[in-house]
Amino acid sequence: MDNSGNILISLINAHDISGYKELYHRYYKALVMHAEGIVGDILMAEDIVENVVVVLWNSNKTFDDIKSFEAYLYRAVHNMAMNELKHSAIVNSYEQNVMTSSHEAMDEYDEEYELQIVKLMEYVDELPERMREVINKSMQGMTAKQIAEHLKISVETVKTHKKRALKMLREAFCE
Amino acid sequence: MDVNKIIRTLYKKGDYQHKRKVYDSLDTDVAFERFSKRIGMENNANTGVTGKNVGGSIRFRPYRKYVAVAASLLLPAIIATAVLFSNNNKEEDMLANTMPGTSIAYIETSRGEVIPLDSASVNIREHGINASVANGELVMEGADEVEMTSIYIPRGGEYKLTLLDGTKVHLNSDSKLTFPSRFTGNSRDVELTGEAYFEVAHDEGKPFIVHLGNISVKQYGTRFNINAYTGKSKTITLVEGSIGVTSGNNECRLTPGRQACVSGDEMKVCNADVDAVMGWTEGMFKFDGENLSDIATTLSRWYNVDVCVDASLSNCCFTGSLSRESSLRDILEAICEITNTSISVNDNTIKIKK
Repeated sequence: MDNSGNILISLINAHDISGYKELYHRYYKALVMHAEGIVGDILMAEDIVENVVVVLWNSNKTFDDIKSFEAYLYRAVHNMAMNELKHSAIVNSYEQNVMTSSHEAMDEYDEEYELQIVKLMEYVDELPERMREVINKSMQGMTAKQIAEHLKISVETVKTHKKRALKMLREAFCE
Repeated sequence: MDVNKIIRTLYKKGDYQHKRKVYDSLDTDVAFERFSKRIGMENNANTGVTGKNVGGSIRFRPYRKYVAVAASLLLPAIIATAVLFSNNNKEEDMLANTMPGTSIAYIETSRGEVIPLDSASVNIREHGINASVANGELVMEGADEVEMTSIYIPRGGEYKLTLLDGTKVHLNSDSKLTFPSRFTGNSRDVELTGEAYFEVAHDEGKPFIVHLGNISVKQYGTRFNINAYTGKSKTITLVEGSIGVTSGNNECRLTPGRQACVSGDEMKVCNADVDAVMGWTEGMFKFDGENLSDIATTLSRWYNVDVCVDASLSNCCFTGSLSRESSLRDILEAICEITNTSISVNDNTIKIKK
């Protein structure tokens, strides 16, 4: 894991397109999610992330390690999203109050959050079908009973699936 | 950060559904293509290379080495994912269509006629047989002539029957019991292959003898289980009463809770895990440190599919109780989870592997 991070950093520092491909695979979804959380629009969030990566490509910036690289990406996406927000807030002054209040709350953020969510969703997608259905529904807030009715299986089975799925997710995260 | 905390945060924020929607709507490959096109266009517009990077670090880097390293990292992951997903559907189909065993049996008369039995109630008064079927149980009734009858349980089946002397027999999958329609002579002789549980009706003057090829099990009124599938050592487990086991020149007497294992000419007597042995008669698989390949054989018989185990797992054991009413998928999931193994499905054969 560490090693692949170092390779990614050398590729990025070497301005190598394959490094950017890896950047997309690792961080694109997490970064878009973060931007989307601020601007509330998926397409705009995608544009923001793309712009950040283009700016990076056009710069001579190099990184010492994966942590500072991640921090840079998050900070850049965050700032650009905030700028977009301010911009659209001026365009649409009606929303300004709402925006500024959320703006302040948004300035504190957890870099890891979206990355972890993306990881979680990747792992969820790898679960066996039934467990996946159960855990998806459960995380959407459905109770075991509702899930059981929905999937036409017993409540006990739902609980077993959920328990096993969480165990598998925990193991996947520990790796 | 551990998964519990993330899940808790997601719950608290009520975020999951929304994040899921965003996540599912994104296509990383498409996005990367868009990015490549864009920097390609930008590079063209800026006469090949963007201003800042002229003479900089982009042109003569040893790409090939890096690309090879990157590819070696990415490729196995991509292939593994592809294999996983392409297999998944077939596996799901196969596993989803595999049902646990039910009450099925065939009666074979001495004249070679075969009568299928299911759980429906019928009376059989033909081919020299006088019997009735109720609730998936066959009850033999009085007969004038002495005819040898066999009851055969296919893979994926089980059946209970009561012999004319009142002895109850519960037959497991892939088993066969041959018995006379009426017990004459000085003993009650039946022949078994496969697995069966006996509750012998007491008759002091007429011992009940189960023949397993050249092994015989003799008792007077008792409860015991016999596991005597072909190509395997045969085990006779006594639950209650007293039995004698004879194999060639060896003879031993079992007390309750003891088990005789007969393999070829050898006979060993040891303490039995009666609970595990009797599990199947109560609708359970009870495995107690059992070898995966033996478990696979048991599952093959009950689910009527071929389950095999990769040779590298020959020493792998599993302990646990599972319902025989569970789907094969649930059973395999449980076993794989605990033994840290996985499943592949090929031409209707399920393989447990690392």
